[in-house]
Amino acid sequence: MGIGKYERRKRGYSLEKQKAKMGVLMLLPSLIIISFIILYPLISSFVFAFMKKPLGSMSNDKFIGLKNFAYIFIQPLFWKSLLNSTILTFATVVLQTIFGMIIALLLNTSFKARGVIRGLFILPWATPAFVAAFAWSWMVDSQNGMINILLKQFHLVKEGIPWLMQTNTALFIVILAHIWKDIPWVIMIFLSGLQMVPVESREAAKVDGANIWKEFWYITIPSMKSIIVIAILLRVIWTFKYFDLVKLLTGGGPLNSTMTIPIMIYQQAFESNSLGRASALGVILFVILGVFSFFYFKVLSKDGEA
Amino acid sequence: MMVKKSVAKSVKILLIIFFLIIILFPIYWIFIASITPSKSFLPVNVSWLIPKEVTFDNFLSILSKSSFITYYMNSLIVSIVATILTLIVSSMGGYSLGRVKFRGRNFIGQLVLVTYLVPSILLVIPLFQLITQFKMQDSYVGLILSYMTFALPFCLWMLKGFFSSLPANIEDAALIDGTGIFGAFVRIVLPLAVPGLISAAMFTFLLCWNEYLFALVFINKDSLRTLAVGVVSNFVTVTMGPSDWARVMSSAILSSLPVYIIFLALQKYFVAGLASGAIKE
Repeated sequence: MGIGKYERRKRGYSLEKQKAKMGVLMLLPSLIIISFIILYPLISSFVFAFMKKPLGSMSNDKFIGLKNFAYIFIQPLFWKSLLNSTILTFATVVLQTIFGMIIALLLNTSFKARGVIRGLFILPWATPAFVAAFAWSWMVDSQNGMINILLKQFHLVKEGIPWLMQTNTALFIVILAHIWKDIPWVIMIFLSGLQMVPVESREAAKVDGANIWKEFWYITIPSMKSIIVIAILLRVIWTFKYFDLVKLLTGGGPLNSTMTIPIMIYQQAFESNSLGRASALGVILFVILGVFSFFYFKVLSKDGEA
Repeated sequence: MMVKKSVAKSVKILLIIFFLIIILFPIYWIFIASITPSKSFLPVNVSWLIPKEVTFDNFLSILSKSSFITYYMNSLIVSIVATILTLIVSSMGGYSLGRVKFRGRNFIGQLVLVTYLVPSILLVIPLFQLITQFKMQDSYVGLILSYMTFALPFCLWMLKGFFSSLPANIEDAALIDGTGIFGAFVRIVLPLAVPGLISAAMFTFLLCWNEYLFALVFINKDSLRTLAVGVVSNFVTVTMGPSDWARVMSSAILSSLPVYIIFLALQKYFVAGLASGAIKE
């Protein structure tokens, strides 16, 4: 009636154009901040990796090619840190996935006060890292820790074990603390994944007489496959780069027995005052994480198409 | 059949309780330490599981320390300002990435995801230099900006997903009225996006409140320290007596309180946000 077809299209077209312009404008603050505080620093750290760069003064900076990397690769501590980071990440993520799935399956059923109980399961994740570190140091304290109290109560040991102070037990406790801290995340992701399991196929399986295990392996797992893969990849990335909890629990000790790549970066930068070597280590970390991130992107985009 | 079912149900409930106890025990154990009178502190034994004597002296003692109050205020200021700033910037950016079509949008979206995965331990080195250059060490501004390195990509990614899940064309009516897209964003889209904004805000606040690395490296002045760094570097010493332990445990409980309250009160937003932040494309 009022507006003709042509006019409407013209108006729609200019609307789209105007919309796009405004859209770019609204994105601009984010882009500027990201460039300034993430992209520019990220690029600088790649440059630093090829420099001799003492902490403090910038006048002594100079390019030294691959020397930082050469130095790192001949350090036994680097290989030890890499191994520790790998063990920590692998053990943490495997156990988080298994127990996260068990707990998610339990919480996905109906029972009294479900909302409150689910909420309580989130608490370790919300706990600040330094509180988590206190909690676990206190749990395994040789005199006051519940673990040693129980061991003594059942006469399994005479003297409390100083778990975090022994080279052969510290990493084990660090792993436990990591599992504990982030398992709520895994539980919640799996819980939301369980909502996507089609009810019909579950009921069909029941009618066919499938038991719980069969239902789990043939119905639940396949329909949650991409969520499980995504959760594992993100957990691997986060655990591998996680600095706070190890730093606060052991600082990498005793005798470097819990030294990880992030702790080594910190020590190189702020204790050995070598920003160049620390950046080179950071680049190595970035490349390792890049591999997992690549797979994460792949799974995400495949998921998006489906 | 009925018997079998009820047995299965009891087993299930027992398992849930078992896991709940394991999950909550470390927190419960420091809570017990914080409410136990320091005279009856050592040695700890099994009888501690249920406290006989309860005191709040440890809490009062830590609250009367002016340094603790200072750390608490610093944590609050930095976390709240970083959250608000991030939300303002990322709600516009997320809207743009999620609902406006323009060239290069997909590329920028992927770039945001990449920046979301950049480890803080890598960024801390160049940021240290940048912050020193701009004389922002020992300042709220430096710390807040460094917190945005993880908060901003996270919120952009999460809100992008949230905005794109809103029904199509909701802003069209306003556009035809000539309000312009920014007006439509403020008046129509933002009110609908409140649940997404709440969950983005609670995640961001939690990440900032719990941050340790940047606060450790960029702040040297005691009066500007946040809780984590302040408590760890000032209250924890090698020669700690029972009353010191009790105080440290009270400070740990008090430091966790804001995030516990937020998460228990706003739990439904948490689950929705978690799923959209991590999984949605």
